[in-house]
Amino acid sequence: MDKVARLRQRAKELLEKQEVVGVLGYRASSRPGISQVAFITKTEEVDQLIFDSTCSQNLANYLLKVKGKGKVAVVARGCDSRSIVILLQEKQIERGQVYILGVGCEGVVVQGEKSASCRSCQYPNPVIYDEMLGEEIHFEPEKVEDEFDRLTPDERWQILSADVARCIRCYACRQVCPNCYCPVCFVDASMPALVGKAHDVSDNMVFHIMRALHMAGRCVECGACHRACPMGIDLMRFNRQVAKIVRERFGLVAGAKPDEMPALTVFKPEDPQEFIR
Amino acid sequence: MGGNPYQPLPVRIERVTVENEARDLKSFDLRFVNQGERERWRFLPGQFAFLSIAGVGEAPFGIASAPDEELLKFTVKRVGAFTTALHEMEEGAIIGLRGPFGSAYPWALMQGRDVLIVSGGFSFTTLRAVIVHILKKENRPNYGRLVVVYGARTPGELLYKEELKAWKTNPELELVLCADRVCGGELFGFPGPVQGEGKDAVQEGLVPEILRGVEIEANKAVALVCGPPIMLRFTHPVLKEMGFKPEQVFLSLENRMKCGIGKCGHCNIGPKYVCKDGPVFCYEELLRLPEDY
Amino acid sequence: MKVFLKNEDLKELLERFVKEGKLFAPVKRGGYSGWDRVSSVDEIVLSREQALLQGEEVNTREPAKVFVFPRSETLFEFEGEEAVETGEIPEVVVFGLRPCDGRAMAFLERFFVGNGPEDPRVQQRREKVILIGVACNSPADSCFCTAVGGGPHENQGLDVLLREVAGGFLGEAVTGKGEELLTGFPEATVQQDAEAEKLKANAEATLALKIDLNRLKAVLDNGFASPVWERLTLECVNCGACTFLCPTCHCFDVFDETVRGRKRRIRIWDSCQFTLYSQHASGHNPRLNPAARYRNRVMDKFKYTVDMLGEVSCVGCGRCVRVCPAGIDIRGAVAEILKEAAQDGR
Repeated sequence: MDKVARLRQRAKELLEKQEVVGVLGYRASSRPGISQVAFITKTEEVDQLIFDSTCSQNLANYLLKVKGKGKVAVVARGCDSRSIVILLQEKQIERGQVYILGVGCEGVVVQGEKSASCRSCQYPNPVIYDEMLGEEIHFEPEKVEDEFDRLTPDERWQILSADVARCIRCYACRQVCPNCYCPVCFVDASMPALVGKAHDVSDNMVFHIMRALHMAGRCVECGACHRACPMGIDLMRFNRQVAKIVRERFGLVAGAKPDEMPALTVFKPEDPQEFIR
Repeated sequence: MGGNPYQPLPVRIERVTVENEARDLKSFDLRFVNQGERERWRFLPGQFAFLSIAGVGEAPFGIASAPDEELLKFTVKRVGAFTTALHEMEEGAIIGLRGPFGSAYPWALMQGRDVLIVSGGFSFTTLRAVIVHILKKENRPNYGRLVVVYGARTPGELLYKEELKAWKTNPELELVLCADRVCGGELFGFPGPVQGEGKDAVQEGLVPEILRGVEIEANKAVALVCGPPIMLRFTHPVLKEMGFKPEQVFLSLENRMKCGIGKCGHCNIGPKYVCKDGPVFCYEELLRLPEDY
Repeated sequence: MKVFLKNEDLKELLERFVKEGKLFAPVKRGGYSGWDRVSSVDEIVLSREQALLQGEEVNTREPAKVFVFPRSETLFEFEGEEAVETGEIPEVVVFGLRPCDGRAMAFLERFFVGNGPEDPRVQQRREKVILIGVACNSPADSCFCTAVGGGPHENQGLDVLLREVAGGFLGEAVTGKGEELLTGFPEATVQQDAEAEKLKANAEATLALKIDLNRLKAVLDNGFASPVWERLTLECVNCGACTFLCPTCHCFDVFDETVRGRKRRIRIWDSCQFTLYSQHASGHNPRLNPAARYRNRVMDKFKYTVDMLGEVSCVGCGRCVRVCPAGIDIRGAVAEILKEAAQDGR
C-alpha cells in the first residue's frame, strides 16, 4: 500500500476509534505548486489528505494552533519531527497530546526545483514517531558549497543588505516557523521599542539577524520560512549560518535527539569559552 | 480643517491635575500657542483629538472641555509608551494637537429633551464636556432635565471630583454617583460612603443597577452612554426596560486609531470607521453593524 | 485615438525617462519580477510576453501602489514640537504595470483623496507619477480580473495603455499626461486594431471565473456569523503577505522614531491580519480569533468598500493567491461562502 493510502486508512481508523480528535496533515490547494494544511476531524474527509512534494509547510507550527482541542495525530517528516522535539523540550506541547504518523520525505519542490534546504537535508526521516507510514527514505544530501563563507565581511554585508532591502516585513517567515511562538514578538515590543519598523535596510537586517539568533539550537532548517517569503529573500543563509555555528561549537543539531536538550539551555564545562580571558 | 490633516498644532500644557487615587489618570488643560489656530478650532462635545509628542507618538482622546471653555481639557490614563511620556510632562511644556475629529453627540436631537447620561470609569471625559456645555447659562433653557449616572470602581477613581461636588448641589442637574466598591473614610475630599442613603452620597453598586433606580420618561429623553464594553452590554437591557428605543440611545465607542480621518483602516466596524463615522453612534445603527468591536 | 509604437519607438520614449533616472519597470528576480529603477533601457524586457517566456510572473510581486503609497514614508520631521513636511516627491514613470494594478490605483486615489479629508502625500505622489500600463495577452492561472469587473485590456487608472501586437504596441492615452506622451506617433491601422481586439478576446476567454458580485454582497451582508470563516482559516498563519502585496490594501501604522537626534513621524504598511492591528490600549482585542481577521479582509474587499465607495476593491490580480504560504485562495473562500449560503437557501 502506498504511503498516502496508508495515511488515509490510519487517519480513518484513528478518528473512528476516537483515539484522536483530528488529523493534522496536508490537502491539495487550488494552486498546483503548494499544499494547504488540513485538520481532518471527520472520517468522510480523510481522502483529502495527501503527501507529496508540494507539502511546503512545517506542521509543528500548526500543532500550537490546535493545542487544547485534544489529542491530535500529525504527519511528520524529518524536519517536522525535529520541530516537534523542540516544542516538546520547550514544554509547548505534551507527548501524550500528539500521535505522530512518521513519513520519509524526498523533499519539497518549488517551481520545478527541489527546495534548497531539502537538497542538503540530512534528516529525511522522522526522529520520533508513533508509527511509520511506508519505508524510510535515503538519499545523499548535497554539500552546501557556500561561496559565501569565502567572502570578506564587507562583501557578505553587501549581499545580505541587497537581499534584506527587499523585505516588506510581512512576517510570513516568522508566522510559518514553529519556533516563533512568543505572544509578543520582539519586533512588536514598544516599551522599549527594540527594532525600527520602517522600510530601512538596517532595521530589516536587525530583524532577520535577531530572528536567526533566536533560532540558535532550535532551527531545524526545514526551509518553510524561505518558501513562505513573498520577496524571495534567502532566509536560509542566516539560519544555516547559525545552525552551522551551533553544530561546530556545541556538536548539537536542533531536535535530532529527543533526549538531548536544546543547545542553548545546557551548559557543559567543556563548552568552548575562549571569549572569557 | 484645512492643511495637512496629519500635522499637529502646538499647544502648551497650562495645568496638570492628578485625577485619581491610583495616580494613573491625569487631566491636561491646554492652551493653543497660536491664538488664531484656537479661533479656527471649532468642535462640539463628543468629538475627539490626537495629542502628539514629537519623537514619541500620538494617541486619540475625547475632548473633556466644552466649546466655550478657555482651555482644552483632556484626561489621559497611563497605559503605554505615549501616555507614560505625556504623564511625565510638566506645566509649560509644548505638545501637539490634531483634530477635532469624529462625530459629536446628537445636539440637534437633544434640543428640548431630557438628557440622561450614563457613564462608567474614565470614559466620562466627553460627558464632562456635555454637562458643562448644557449647564452654560445661555444653553440651559434648550434642554429638559439633565440626569447623570456616573460610576467607577471606587470613589477614588471618579474624575473631576471638585466639579462633581459642586454639581451635587446644583439644581440644574441631577447627579447620581456610584462605585463598585465603597470603602470607608473620605477620599480626596469626597463625602464618605453611605450605602443607599439619599442622593448626597456615592452609592455602592454597578452603573447598570443604579441606573434602574432612576426615574425618567424615556419618550421625552435621549440617553448618552459611554463606558467600557462590559458596562455597555449590561446597560442596554436596563435602558430598554426603562422604555428607551435604540434610536434614542447614543454610545461613544473607542477603537484602535492611527490617523483619525478614516484612512489607516484600524478602527473599522464593518464599513464604518469609528474615527470618522463615530465615535458617537446611534445604538440603532450599531445594531445593524457587525459585532466587531 | 489609438496610435502605434514600433518597439524601437517605445524604447526611445522610455530612454528619455531612463536618462532622467525616473523610470521604474519590472525586472527579473529569481522566479518572479519586482520594480526596479532602471539605469539602462536594455535592462527591461519591453515585450511582456517575452518576459513571461523568460520566467517572469504575469505581474510584479510588489503592486504598483508602492508608487503612491510606499512601504514606509516619513510624514514629518520635528523641530522641537513643530512638524515639518520633508522629502520632495520626485517624478516617477512606471512602465509595465497591468490593468488590474491600474484599476487599483484608481481605487486608491478615490479612497485616499476623494473620500473625506485628503491625504496630501498620496495626492502629491499620484500627481507626480506617470503610469504606462501594458495589457495582458496571457493571463495566469491565478488571474481573475474579469470576475471582479475588470479586464485584461482595461485602462482605468492608467495614463497610457499599451497593447502588445506584432512589431510593437498599440497605444491609448487615458489622461492628459498620457496624451502628451503619445503625441507624434502614427495612428494605428485597422489591422493592428483588429489584432489587439483578437488578443483581448483570447485573453478574456482564458479568464473563466465568474463571480456574482451582487449575490456575494447580499450573502456577506448577513454572513458575519457564518461558520465558514472558522473552516477557512485553520491554514492561515496571519502574516501580512496577502495584504501587503494586495494592490488595493491601504492600511497603515503611524509611529515616531528618533534617529541620531532627529525625530520623525513615519507611516508604514500595516495589516488587519496581524493580531496587534486591532488591539485596544485597554487590552481588549475584538479580533483575537484568526478567523475574525481573515473575515475582515474578505468582507472589506467584497462588502465594506462597496458600502463605503460603491465598488468591490478586489481587482483579481491573483497576487494573494500566488504568495500565500498557506496555499489559501480567495477565490476558494468566495466559492465556499456562496456555496454555504446556497445550501442554507439564502
